[in-house]
Amino acid sequence: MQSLPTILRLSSFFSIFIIWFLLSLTIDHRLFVSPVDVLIDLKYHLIEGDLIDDTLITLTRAGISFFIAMFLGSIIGYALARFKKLNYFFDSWVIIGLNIPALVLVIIFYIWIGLNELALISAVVLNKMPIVIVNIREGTRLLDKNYFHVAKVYQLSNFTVWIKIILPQLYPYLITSARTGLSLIWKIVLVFELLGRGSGIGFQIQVFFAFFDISSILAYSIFFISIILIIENFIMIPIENRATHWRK
Amino acid sequence: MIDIKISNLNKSFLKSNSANKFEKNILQILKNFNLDIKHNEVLSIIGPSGTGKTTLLNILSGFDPHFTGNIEINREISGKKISFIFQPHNLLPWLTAHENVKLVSSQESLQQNRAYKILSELGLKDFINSYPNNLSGGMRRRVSIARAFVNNPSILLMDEPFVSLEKPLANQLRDLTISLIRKYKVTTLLVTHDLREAIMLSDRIIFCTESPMNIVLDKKIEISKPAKYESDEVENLYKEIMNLYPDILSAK
Repeated sequence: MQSLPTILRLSSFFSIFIIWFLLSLTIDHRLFVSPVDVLIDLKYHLIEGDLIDDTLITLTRAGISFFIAMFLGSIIGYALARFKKLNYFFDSWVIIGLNIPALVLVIIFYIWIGLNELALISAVVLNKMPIVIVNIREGTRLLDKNYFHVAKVYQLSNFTVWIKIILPQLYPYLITSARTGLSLIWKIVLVFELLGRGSGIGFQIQVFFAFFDISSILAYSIFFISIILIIENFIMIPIENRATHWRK
Repeated sequence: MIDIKISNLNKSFLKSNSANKFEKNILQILKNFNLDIKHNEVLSIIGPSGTGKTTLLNILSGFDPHFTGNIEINREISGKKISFIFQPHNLLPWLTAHENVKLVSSQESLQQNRAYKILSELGLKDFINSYPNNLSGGMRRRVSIARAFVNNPSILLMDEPFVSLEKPLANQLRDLTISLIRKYKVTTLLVTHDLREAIMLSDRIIFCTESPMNIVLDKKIEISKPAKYESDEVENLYKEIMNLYPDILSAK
C-alpha cells in the first residue's frame, strides 16, 4: 500500500505525456509538436547543441543570486526583528521591495548598470531578498525566550547559542525562504536573460522564439525543469528532512 | 555560613495604564528586599501570583540584570555553577536527552561523561538518544533535573518545577529531586504555591506579600527528613500553619 502514492504520482506524470501525445496526433500542426519530436530535439541539443553550457550559465546566475539574496535577506530580517527602530524605518522599504515588479527592476538596472551580469544578479537579488527578509523577521520574532533563559543560566557561549538555539528555530523559515526562492529565482533569471543577456536558457528561448522553434523551446524547458526537480528532491527536501527530523 | 546574601534589592517594571494606554505606571516589585540563604539550606518562597518570586529567581540566575541592590554569593562557592529547574522543562526539542544535558555540561563534566552517568542514575539509560517529543512528561522532567545536576551545582533555583504534573508523578519527582539536593549538598531556593511541597522539601519557608514583595513570616521547618508529601508530619504542620495564619497563602 505504501507504493500507491508513488504509483499515482508516476501515473499522473506519464498521463501528461500521453495526453500531450494524443493531442499532437489529433491537432497535427507543426506548432503543436509531439513529445517524441521534443525528445529527439532534446537529444540533439544535449549532444550537439549548447544545452549543457546554457543550463550551467543560467544555474550559475540563479545560484549566485540565490545565495546572495538568502545571506543578505537573513541578516537584514534578523536585524529588523531584533531592533524595533530599524524595523520602523525600513519596513516601508521592504513593502516596496515586495511589490515592485521584477520587470521594472531589471529594466532600470539594465539601463543604469548596462546589459551585464552585475545588473542581472542585482535585479534578481533585490527581487528575492524582501521575501527572505519577511520570513526571517517573522521567525526571529517567534524565537522562544525560555531557551535563552537556559543559555543565560548555564552561561552558554554566543556561538553555542547561535548554533544550538537560534538557528534550529530559524531552520523552518530559512527552508521555506530557500524553496520559494529557488522556484522564483530560476523563473525570473530566464526572463532577465531573455531581455538583456546573450547567453543562458532565457536567451536561447528568445532565439528559438524568433524561428518559431516550439520543439526546441519545449526541449530546453523540460531539461531545465528536470534539473530544478532534481535540486528540489535531492538537495532541498533532504536538507529539510535533516533539519526537522526531531519532529518525527 | 551564608551562601547567598541579598541586600536592598530593588526591581520595578513599566506597566501600561488600563485607562490611558499612552501613560505608563511604575510597578515596584522588589523594594529594599533582604534575604540570607544559608549553606546547604533548602529555602522555599511562598506568595500569591505576581509577588515577584520568579523575578527574584531571574535576577539570581543572571537572566535579568536590570536591578539595583546587592547580591553576594559565598566566596567559597562563587566560582561554581548555578542551576535552574524551570516551570516548563525548557528542553531543546531538536536535541536528544543526552545532547540536552551535554549542552550545559562544563568541561569537567564532559571529561567525566557525567551527562550519561546522571541520566542513567535517573533511569533514562535507554532513552538517552530520544528526543523530548518522544518522551513522557515525567521523563522530560527527569531530563531537566539531570541537566540541573550535571555540573554538580552549588546553588539550585527551582520555579514551581512540579506544577501541572499528576500527583503520583509529582510526588515521585519531589522525592528524586530532594534526594539529589541532599546527595550533592546544594543550596536551594524553591518558588512554589504548594505549602505541603514547601514543608516536605524545605528547611525554611518564607511567606511573602505582593508588590513590593515583603516577608511576612519566616518559618523554620522541623520535621524528620526525608519527608513524604502525603505523610502525617507534613499534613500536621500544614494544618498548624494554616490555623495560626489562615490568610498566609493569600497575603496582600
